[in-house]
Amino acid sequence: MNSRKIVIYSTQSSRATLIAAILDGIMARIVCCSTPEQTIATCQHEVPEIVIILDIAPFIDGTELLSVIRAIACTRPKIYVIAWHQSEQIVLSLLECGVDQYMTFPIYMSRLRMKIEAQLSNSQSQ
Amino acid sequence: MNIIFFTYALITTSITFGLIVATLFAQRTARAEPPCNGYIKQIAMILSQQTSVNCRIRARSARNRIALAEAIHTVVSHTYGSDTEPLRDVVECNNLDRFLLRRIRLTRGAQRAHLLMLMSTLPLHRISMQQISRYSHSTDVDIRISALILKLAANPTQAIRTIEGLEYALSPFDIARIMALLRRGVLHIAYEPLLTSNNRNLRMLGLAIVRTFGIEIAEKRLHHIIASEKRQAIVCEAIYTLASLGRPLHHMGIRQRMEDMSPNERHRLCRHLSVEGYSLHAVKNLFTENESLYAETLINSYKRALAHNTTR
Repeated sequence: MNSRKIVIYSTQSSRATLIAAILDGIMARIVCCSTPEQTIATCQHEVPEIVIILDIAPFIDGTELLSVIRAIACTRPKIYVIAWHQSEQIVLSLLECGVDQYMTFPIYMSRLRMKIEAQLSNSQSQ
Repeated sequence: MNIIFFTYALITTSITFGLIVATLFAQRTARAEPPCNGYIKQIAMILSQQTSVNCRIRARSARNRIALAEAIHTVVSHTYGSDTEPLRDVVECNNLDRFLLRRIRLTRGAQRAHLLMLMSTLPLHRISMQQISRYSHSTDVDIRISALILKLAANPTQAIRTIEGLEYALSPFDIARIMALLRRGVLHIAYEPLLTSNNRNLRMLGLAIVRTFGIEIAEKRLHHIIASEKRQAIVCEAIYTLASLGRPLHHMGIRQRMEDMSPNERHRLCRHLSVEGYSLHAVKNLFTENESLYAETLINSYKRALAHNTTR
């Protein structure tokens, strides 16, 4: 059983499946969630190293997904956001909200995989 | 009487049985993974070279072929830099191009536009431009732009000529869709010839490229456009582009062109500059006292929001 865990949140199952398929080669358990409630419950249950959010909606619709995840988790999972937005204002706002890494679509598959792998090995060495 | 009662009981029982079967079937369908997701996994594995090309993806029914086309669209439109050559075999084996062209012919409206969009991400060996051209002249805006995107993706070397030949003005939404092609690396267009072109669509596309990729060395050209361009829409776009680069806007040429703007346009620009982070002093230099009062309110409200966040 993999001790390393990644949670992917997206309202579109196809996008979450794509990211999960890209990260398929790395040794980690990947769980896809489609609602903020499911994501929070999964984070509480699985205690993931990385949470990948494929939308910026949870940051502007009042869900406060990030603060809830930070509050309930006993460790501090790294939050990655991947979205289409390029505006500097949006990126700055996300970083102010506590997002660790922001990437824009379209993504380079091997680069994303290497980044996540490096992050997982960093978390394990700490 | 007995016959009526028996018929009534039979009908009620069959309806109940039918409802139970329908519910069970719906539950099973909901639990099952959509076919598109299965294809996405296979395609992502092929593109990330985790699986050999010999892995054949088969879609035998029409439903599965649509799902396969949607899966290719999802993977190709969200990623870049992968060699899509192996996908050509998948498209050929399943006759996806011919299947989609037939479907496009038979459908109408939004469905046709959706199928054209799916086709624009397929790696095709050859495509008949005549077959697509008939959709480029459609009165439906969505079909027209989807056909244009398909044309650009199928023949990227002719992109500038294709856009130049358009008889209609591209909307910001249309330009955003062309920009998505650029971001995926499908189109290789330099911004400079676009900015010097007299064609409206090409100029707008050039400005969008400068804005999206933050090309600061284009500042001189932007000033030239603002000073010499006669079409107000392009002047506005050039000022917005300059603002998105965070460059100073106090030049006399810019102020003169801003005077030609309508009050609504000036209000919108004032808001944009405040959001882009221009100081109140810079905004006051460009707008009247009444107009800059609006910027002051916006900036103050943003500062309050930040203070609230930090104290929490």
